Amino acid sequence: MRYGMVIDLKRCFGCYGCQVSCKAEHATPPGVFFARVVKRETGTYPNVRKVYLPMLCMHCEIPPCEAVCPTGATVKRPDGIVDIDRELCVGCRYCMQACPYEARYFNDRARWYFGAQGPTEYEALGYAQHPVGVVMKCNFCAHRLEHGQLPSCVVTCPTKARTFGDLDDPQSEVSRLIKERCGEPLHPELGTGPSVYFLPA
Amino acid sequence: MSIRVQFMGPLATTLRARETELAGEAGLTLRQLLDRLETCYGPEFTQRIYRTLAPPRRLQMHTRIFVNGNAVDDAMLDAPLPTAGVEPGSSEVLIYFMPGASGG
Amino acid sequence: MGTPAGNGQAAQEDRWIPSACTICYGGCSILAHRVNGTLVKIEGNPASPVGNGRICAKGLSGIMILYDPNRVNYPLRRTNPRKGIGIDPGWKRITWEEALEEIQVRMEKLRAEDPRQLMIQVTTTLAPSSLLFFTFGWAFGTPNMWVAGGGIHCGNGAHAVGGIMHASWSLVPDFKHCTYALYFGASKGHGAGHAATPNMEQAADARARGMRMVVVDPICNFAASKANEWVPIRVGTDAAMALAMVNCLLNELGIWDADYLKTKTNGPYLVRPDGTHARDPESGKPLVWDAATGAARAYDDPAAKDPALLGTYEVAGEACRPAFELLKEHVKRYAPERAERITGVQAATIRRLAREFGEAARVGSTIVLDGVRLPYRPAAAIYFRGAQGHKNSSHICFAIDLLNQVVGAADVVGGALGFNPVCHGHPETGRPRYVPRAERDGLMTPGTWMLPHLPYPPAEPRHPDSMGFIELFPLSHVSPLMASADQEQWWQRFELPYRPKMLLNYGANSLMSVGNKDTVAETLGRFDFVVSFDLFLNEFSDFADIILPDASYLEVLDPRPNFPFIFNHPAGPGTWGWPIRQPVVPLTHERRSAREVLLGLAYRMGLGPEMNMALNVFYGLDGPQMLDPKKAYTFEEVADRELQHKFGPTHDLAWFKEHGVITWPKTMEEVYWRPFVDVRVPIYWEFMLGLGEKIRRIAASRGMTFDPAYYSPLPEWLPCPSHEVEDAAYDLYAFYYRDVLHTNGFTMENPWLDEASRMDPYSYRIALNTETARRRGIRDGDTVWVESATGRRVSGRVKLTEGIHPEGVGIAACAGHWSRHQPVARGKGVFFNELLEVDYEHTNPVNLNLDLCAKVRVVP
Repeated sequence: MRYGMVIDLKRCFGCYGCQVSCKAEHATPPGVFFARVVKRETGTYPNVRKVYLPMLCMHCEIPPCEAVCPTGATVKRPDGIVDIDRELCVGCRYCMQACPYEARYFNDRARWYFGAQGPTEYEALGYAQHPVGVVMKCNFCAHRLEHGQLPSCVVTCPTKARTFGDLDDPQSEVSRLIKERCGEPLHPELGTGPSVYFLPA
Repeated sequence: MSIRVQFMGPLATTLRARETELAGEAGLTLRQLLDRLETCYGPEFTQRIYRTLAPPRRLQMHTRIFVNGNAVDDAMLDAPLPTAGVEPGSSEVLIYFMPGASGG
Repeated sequence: MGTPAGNGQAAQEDRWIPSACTICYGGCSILAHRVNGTLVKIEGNPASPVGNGRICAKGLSGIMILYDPNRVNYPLRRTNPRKGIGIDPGWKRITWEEALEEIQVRMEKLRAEDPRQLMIQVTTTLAPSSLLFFTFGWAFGTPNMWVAGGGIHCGNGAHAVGGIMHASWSLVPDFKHCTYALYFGASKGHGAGHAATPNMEQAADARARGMRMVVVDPICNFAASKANEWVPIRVGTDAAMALAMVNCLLNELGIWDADYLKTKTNGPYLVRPDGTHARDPESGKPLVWDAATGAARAYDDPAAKDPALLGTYEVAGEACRPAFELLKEHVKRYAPERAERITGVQAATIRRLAREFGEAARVGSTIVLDGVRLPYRPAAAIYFRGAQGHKNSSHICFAIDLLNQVVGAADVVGGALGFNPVCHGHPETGRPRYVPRAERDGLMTPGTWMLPHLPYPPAEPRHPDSMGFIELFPLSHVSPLMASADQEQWWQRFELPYRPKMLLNYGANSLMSVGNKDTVAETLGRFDFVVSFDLFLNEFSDFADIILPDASYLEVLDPRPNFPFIFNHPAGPGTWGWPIRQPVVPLTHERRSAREVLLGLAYRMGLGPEMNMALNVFYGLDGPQMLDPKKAYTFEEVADRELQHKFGPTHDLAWFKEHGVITWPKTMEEVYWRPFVDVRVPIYWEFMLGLGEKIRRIAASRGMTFDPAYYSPLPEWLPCPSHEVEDAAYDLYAFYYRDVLHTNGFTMENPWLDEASRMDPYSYRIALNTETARRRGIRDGDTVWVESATGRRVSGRVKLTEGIHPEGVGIAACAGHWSRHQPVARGKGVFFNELLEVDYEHTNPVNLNLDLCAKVRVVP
């Protein structure tokens, strides 16, 4: 069992649905994005291409973040999810330097979206899950998976660009897509074995 | 048969009338009734009732005519007016015209 | 959110409530997750075809609108009598009773004098819900109502042409079957708009399936960036390119669908030398030339077996020619080489695209769907705001749609589809039911429409008695004269017998949404009294006298967020869905639903009979569900009747509150209706000749003139004022586009969307071509001024890009807020509309669309 995600860049047009959906699901503080969209441009006028790259934790097979964690807070779960035990994290942030995908965020202090006006009713409730002084990141919405639901970014994506499933199962939709559409992880040369694959645009 | 006609909405403003009462013979159709009202109120009335003054005259989409509580469509213009109003042997006709605005 | 009971206590309440989004007028279906009274998540509703469970970034961010601490919570009254941009009104909290009492007294006095002195203004963001505001206006007796900015920016041209040619508000390619989609200034399926989220899914499916997409647009963003080809074009010149393509199809390639043109258009109608149709002297019906018998016959004469599309025929002593032949001749004036000079698109490219489009249409082919053989034309040409937002608006849309019409790709499998022009109703009740039908000269009129006057046949032009003169221009629906620099001049010349004194506003920030702020401010300053229902104080509020705290879309009921289906229900094959919008959290503070307040106000003023009848008409209620003019109803009761009227007594409001949506399958006859409905559409707009003349007769003596070319029966490319600026110093065309993250000017205050916009390279920046900037010594990130040839200017930071026409200045509208009451939005992005003139000169004299481009220079 190894959870993984396939993102079809042909379908994605950079709408930010995943980014905001993740924010709504996890009530992440300002500046924290377990999912985000990176936009780039290539080529010269008029032969220009826009690149929309949805980013999240790659849930690597050999997570560099896990290797450097001094307390064992970062764990690679048997189902492939890389998660953080908030109780064990001491906020040393070595993992943030180790992660080549910039998928980790440090919750240095309580922050909310309307600044001095204080937290909204929603934020007051949601931020309780984000203790200050620890590192946070995408965990493939493990709490949703427990209830048989797909990750929030997967269900919301208006273009159905995201497919989630078991990479170890050759019959799964994710395995099929990677094979048939030549899916590639981001920066495979780093050798971390990401569990997130991208299909070409 | 006595027919009570009420003009509602901006139609009342335009015609400077809210209500009129007409006597009608049995078998009078709504189209004939509207023709009679046209002679009273002129093209100001008819322009708001029909999409075009030239035949075939069809009802404006947002002009609704209710006869005894039932909305009328083009197909019913030439049927005799029913006589099932509030008073026995009477008919109540409500004519409502809405001018418009929209967008998006 | 994932673990809402963060304090460890078990949730006493945990519900998913079906409702509808209203952050744009797409109205996608949502599920709102409420835990112990707090809204913790919004997701799409998988049970509804209006999104199929998907929802965009805007829709997901609704929580931050609901809980924004900057919302208005109490009725407010100004204490400072001075009104002006940035002048503090000195807001004082008052009670609802004080507010309503003052409004009632003023309204009653106004109504007794002349009800037309009341103007009602709503926002396009809430367009479907705001229609109820118009019922109040109808009951009150004023014709002066508008969607501030909405219609004059996006819709007067696009929607009228959609209505005349497709019996619908808008167009999409048949995403299911189309193989070649040509977009002109449209983002259908890639961002904002009607059926926004469902279109995104369908467009992605089409991409995955291999639909070829070519986007003609000055900027390469949402749609163009996903297309197979981006064709950069000079701003406002789309009609010239489309006409050149039609020319290539008809005169170089010889591609047209003769069967379709003969039976489904007025192509064979004979045209006399004066441009009008040759008509049967008895019936007045247009004549066609029957090649089989060599005689002129009425178009609907069954004996006319083979109506000619080409040739010259003598009828009543005159040389008459079929309308199609005239079109074919007319477009010869648009040689690709000439179009290249106008548009900047190479003639060879125009020729290639015309050939690709014509070949992709596969004229003559059929396909069997559900056992029925249907015409198959898998090519579609689509237009929207970008193409149509110019002074030549009607002709631009007409010209582009002619591509569909000449190859027969209109509302057939694979072609350009109107949004749901046909509905046969729910199987149990047959409601709602509407079908386009043949009107004057056999030409189509829509089966349902958003406006009282249908686009065809156009109403008789009348001397205007409304502020915007829409009676004079029957192909318009919203008018810039509601807030133009020259309105008083026109009112005087046309002897308007009153002046607007009171403004009732529903959520519109017209100071920013119409055009430059100074012009709009001057018009707002003319009102004695302004009442505004708002979620937030904004720039417009500086002109309000009373602010009423509105309920957000998550706190209100609406029985029909997606009806009429021609507006924002997803088009094409699939499922019908009629969802409701319902409160997902109770109202707090002293907020009230504007529509409940208005209904109460109507009853309070003794307008009950008029209001109830207006509601009967608006919702189409009759029989047992008809509202009794003599009774008073709550809005819940009205909604209950509306739902029972459409779906029967078992599907009442209580049923809808629980289930959220009713669905039933679409049939092939509904989706690909064109072969099944006996209507024709005009490829030659003969009616424009008479219409233009009638308008001229009323308008010219008052000094309101126009070039008759705007009323020609065949489309032309006519320049915008920006194309005619002679001062060489102004060498660029500023235009705006709709950002996928924003709806009008409403969403910059949403901190999640604002945050994404700050991360986005373009949202808050001025897009400028890299080479263009280099020549001016402008670098990426520089702050510049964009100055119009008419002397207006805005500043902003530059984003250099290769993805914009070298003459283009692209700005995502409409940001640049300055109100301190919206601290998140304040100072973000660029206020494009400041560059727009609002006057008759910049208005299309057919449909009153405002010209939305400006000739500018960019200076450090």
